[in-house]
Amino acid sequence: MIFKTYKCNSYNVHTIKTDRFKTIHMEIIFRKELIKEELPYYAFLIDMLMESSKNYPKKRNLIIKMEELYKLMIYGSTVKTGDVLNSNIMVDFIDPKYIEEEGYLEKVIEFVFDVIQNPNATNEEFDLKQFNFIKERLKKEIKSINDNPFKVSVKSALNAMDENSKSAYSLMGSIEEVNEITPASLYKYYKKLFKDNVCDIFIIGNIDADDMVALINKYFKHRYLNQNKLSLMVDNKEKKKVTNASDESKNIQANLVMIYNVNNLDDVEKHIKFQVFNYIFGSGGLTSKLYKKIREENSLCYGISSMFLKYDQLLVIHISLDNKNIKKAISLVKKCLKEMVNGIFLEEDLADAIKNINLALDYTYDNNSSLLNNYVFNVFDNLPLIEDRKKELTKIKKEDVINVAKKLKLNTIYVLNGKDMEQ
Amino acid sequence: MKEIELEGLNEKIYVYTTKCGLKVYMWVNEKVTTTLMNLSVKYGSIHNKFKVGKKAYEVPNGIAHFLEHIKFNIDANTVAHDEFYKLGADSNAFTTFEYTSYLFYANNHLNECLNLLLDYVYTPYFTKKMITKEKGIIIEEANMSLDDPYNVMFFDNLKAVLQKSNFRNIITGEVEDIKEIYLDDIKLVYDTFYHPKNMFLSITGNFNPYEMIKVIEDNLAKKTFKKFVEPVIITEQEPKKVNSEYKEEFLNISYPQLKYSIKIPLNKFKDIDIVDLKMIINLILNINFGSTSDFKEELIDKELITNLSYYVDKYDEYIVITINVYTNYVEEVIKRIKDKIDNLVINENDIMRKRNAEIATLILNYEDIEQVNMMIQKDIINCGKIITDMKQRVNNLTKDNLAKVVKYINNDNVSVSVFLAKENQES
Repeated sequence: MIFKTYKCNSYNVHTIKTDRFKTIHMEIIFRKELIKEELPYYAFLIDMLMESSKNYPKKRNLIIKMEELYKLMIYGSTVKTGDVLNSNIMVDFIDPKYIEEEGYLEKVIEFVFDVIQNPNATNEEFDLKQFNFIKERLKKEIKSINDNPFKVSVKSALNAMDENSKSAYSLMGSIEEVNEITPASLYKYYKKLFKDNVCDIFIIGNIDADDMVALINKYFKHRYLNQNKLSLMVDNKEKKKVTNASDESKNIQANLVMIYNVNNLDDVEKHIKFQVFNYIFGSGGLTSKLYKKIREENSLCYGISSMFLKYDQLLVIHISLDNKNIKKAISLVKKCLKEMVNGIFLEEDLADAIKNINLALDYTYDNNSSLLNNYVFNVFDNLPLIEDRKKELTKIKKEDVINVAKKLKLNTIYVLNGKDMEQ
Repeated sequence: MKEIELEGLNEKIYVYTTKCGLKVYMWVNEKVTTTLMNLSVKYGSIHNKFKVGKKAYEVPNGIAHFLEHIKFNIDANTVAHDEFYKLGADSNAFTTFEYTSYLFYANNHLNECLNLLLDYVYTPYFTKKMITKEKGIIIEEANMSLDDPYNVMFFDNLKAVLQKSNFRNIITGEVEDIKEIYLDDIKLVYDTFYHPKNMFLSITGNFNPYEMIKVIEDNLAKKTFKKFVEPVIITEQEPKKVNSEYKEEFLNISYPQLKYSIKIPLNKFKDIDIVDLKMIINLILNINFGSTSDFKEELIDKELITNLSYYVDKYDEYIVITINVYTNYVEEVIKRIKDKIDNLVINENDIMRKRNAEIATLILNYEDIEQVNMMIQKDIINCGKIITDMKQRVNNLTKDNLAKVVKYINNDNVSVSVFLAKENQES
């Protein structure tokens, strides 16, 4: 694999040349500091850009063109990464060597930037019909979060922790906020996408990087210089007293969420050591401490997740279970963590966790978007490249895992009760 | 060992049958780092009544899935997951309507992992204690799926379309079914179905196929298998009519959905195999209801829907087409779908464009070990063999071939399920 970075004044292009894949994957990433009021605008905007454009005024026209380009896929999303909002546009298309079409690559690049740079708007207002359709769809998506007990409970738990924390901001905003958006106000955010955001383009595939960058420079007319340094970390404060909160629901099961602060990790702890801790503690599937204790030994639940929100400096544990088992599960989670802090796990557990993280890292090599994602965070946050992470893993000692375990501090216990709650 | 060429795709599948009758299918990709192995048994959630010789048996719903869970126990103190974990491999399993699969991903120790897979799946160890323990976990899993409205809508729609078929039942079984599963049922199912002749192994990734076959033969040679008596699955004849023509249901959802399902007997399509049939119907639906269709565009333009999708599945001797819509205008949308079904079109330009796009997808599928492994599993379960001429089949998607099928897609046998928000019911 050959990594290259091209500085193109107003944006950077980062390429990975590899012949491992038959597809070329490209991500155009716009980044800026997370501001609550802006979130629904950017979510709406990216949806709007992916739905139609001046030259392809309806989704149907876009899809026909994409089918003509051998099922090219273009799609977008907004993602919160700690204190940064990423507005991403992703493109997947077939390596030109598999098709017999002259100038295919240029047609692809021309199409992609045509869609981004020629939005479906007139006099600085987006097309009203398309706008209204996206608005309704977005409102439906916001409402649909309530259909998923996992999402509802984690969202409510973060709010219970601190509703003003950036970690609790809703990516799509509220229905009321979406209702406030107009075709004209949204267009202002289209302009802000270029003016206020830092832009990076990442590409992976069997490409001639110089040719690819020349094509991007030809079709991407981005002229705003924005190379601001963005800080990723959200500072969630520890609490002296744990917050306890709960809500009622119509679900059968209860959903228990426990949030821990994980502050003061250095870079190696953040990128490597905490991952090893969490693997042994809760994220390592059926072999983790939480699974063994709560599911296998006590049959309290089917699924447990232990998610490290690296840039929010939080560990979020979620368990869906019967109401009557909540107290027992909370005490078992605490017990498992105490065991980690006291080093009650084997050297063998550590070695096995490292082997399994290595497998996951190797699997990254087999998927172009995962491989690219690793590179994205290498560029944005100095996440070591895969081979470097594997080397770092070999150095980890039991003491390192105990040290990161000691940094966990319980912040919030939230329960979304099931309907059969025992009083 | 046979090497089967996949025509026009520059790919091949290695096929081998072991001395004890286990079929092995392998796809090698030297560019990947990981290998995926799935040992699958042709026993799924729908197979709860069967005959062995002259004796007929009935077991509780959900038993295939229950067996999948407890099969991981090697003995009183050893669980297969832990053993794979020690080898740096990631193991799992899943149960579908038609089969159950035990799998692992590994980048090292492939031979040891493969031996472990064969050892634990082919060594029965079941106790009353483990069944009692697992019931608690599986009941929580079943409850979790009842809290997922999308899963509930899928199965409630199947119950509206099908009258007697076992496809009506959820894969985990209902809580009451799970409580009724006992040790004898588990042993019966294992002894009847978990025989190499009723199983297959699919391996995709970076490995030497000849080495794998040696490991498999050496391993299986040490095991004793009883003579396989092929069980006969007992199915109730599914009636032609849908179970319910129209029903409304209130669920924990925030936005109304409707599912418009058409049930067509497979015997209408005598000269078309199931692979071609599903491909043709998907193309007809894509042209008429997909993102490039006038129909979808009009519904969106008139703000009648926020989304529309479709899917096609085979259930027993029927093809079921389902059009799934998010709408606040249920009556109007049903009327329009009905009209559209009466006026389906086939457009030559659309066919050509979508055919080229499909060929690109076919080529791209052969870079992902999961995708290829799943394609092998589907081929074996649905057709009993690897389909080698997919590219030619895509090229055969012509207007004439679509016309042979489109005439049977009509409103004669339709079930409509409307799912509304519970919130609105109560207000």
